Amino acid sequence: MSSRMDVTDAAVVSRARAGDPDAFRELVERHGRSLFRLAFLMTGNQQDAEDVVQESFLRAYRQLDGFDGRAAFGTWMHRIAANCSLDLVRARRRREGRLPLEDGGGAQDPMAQLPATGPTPERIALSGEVSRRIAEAMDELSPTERTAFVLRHFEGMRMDDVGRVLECQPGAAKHSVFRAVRKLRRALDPLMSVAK
Amino acid sequence: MNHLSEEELILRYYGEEDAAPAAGRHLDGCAECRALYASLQRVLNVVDALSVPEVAPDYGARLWQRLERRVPVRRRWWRAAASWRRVAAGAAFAGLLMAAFLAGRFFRRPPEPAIAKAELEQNPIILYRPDNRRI
Repeated sequence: MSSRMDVTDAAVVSRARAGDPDAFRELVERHGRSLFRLAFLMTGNQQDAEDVVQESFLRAYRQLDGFDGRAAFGTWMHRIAANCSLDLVRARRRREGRLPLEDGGGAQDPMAQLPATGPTPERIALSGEVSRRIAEAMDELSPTERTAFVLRHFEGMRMDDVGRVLECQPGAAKHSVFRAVRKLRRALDPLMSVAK
Repeated sequence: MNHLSEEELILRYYGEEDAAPAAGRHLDGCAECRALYASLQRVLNVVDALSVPEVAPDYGARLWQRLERRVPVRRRWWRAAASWRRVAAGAAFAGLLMAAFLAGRFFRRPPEPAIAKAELEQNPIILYRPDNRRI
């Protein structure tokens, strides 16, 4: 996000705070797509992602007076969406009776069913197969690991910021990322080997 | 020889390594760690291939349509201030009316001067007809 965008966002936020509904609409239209991307990466489900985006904007609207402008509005929104996604994924797992896998054990290895011979890396990369395998591997992460990984890997947040979103120490955030990467490697490395 | 841990390599991948120069020097001279790092890079690079559904160009507008019904109306501060001013002015006016009513009800009028009554008795009112003759 450029500083010009941030300044403009700040002005639009001021108008939205003053009760201008068109201003909040502008914020929704500006940030909706990137929030959807984040929510999809965190939930792995289109419908859930759309619900998260809506809920995030509603939360933001209610908390608009508390937005102090220290972070860019987009960053603030991403934090809200990350928390909404985390809440949704945790609730979904509770409903499904899936225990969070905070540490290594118990995860299925989706690569175990891979054929001994496979297509070339180029062909794999072009197919939707890799994406499906990655999605499966991501689903094996605990909600906290997935959130930490998405924020670090896809959103480019530093570990300290990941810790702030997760409301934990940076060290704990780092360890969530480490566990996530370890699980992803375990799941995806065989695919890379097969593809060689 | 102490090899780099997976954690150190992950931090290096994300540019958050704590001991960058030392790790870099070690990687330069250690084929085993380089192989591990290359494997890590391959996996993390391929994770980027995770596809996210494309959203329609009018996604934001459609999103707003769904949200608009659920977003509570936020009053403009100057409207709120204006309405407070109206309420205050109304209350002040009502107070004045009440004060005037109470003042009229409870304050005694001064007695009429007795001399005026006596003068009236002595000087009756003279009435004239239209032709200017006294009645």
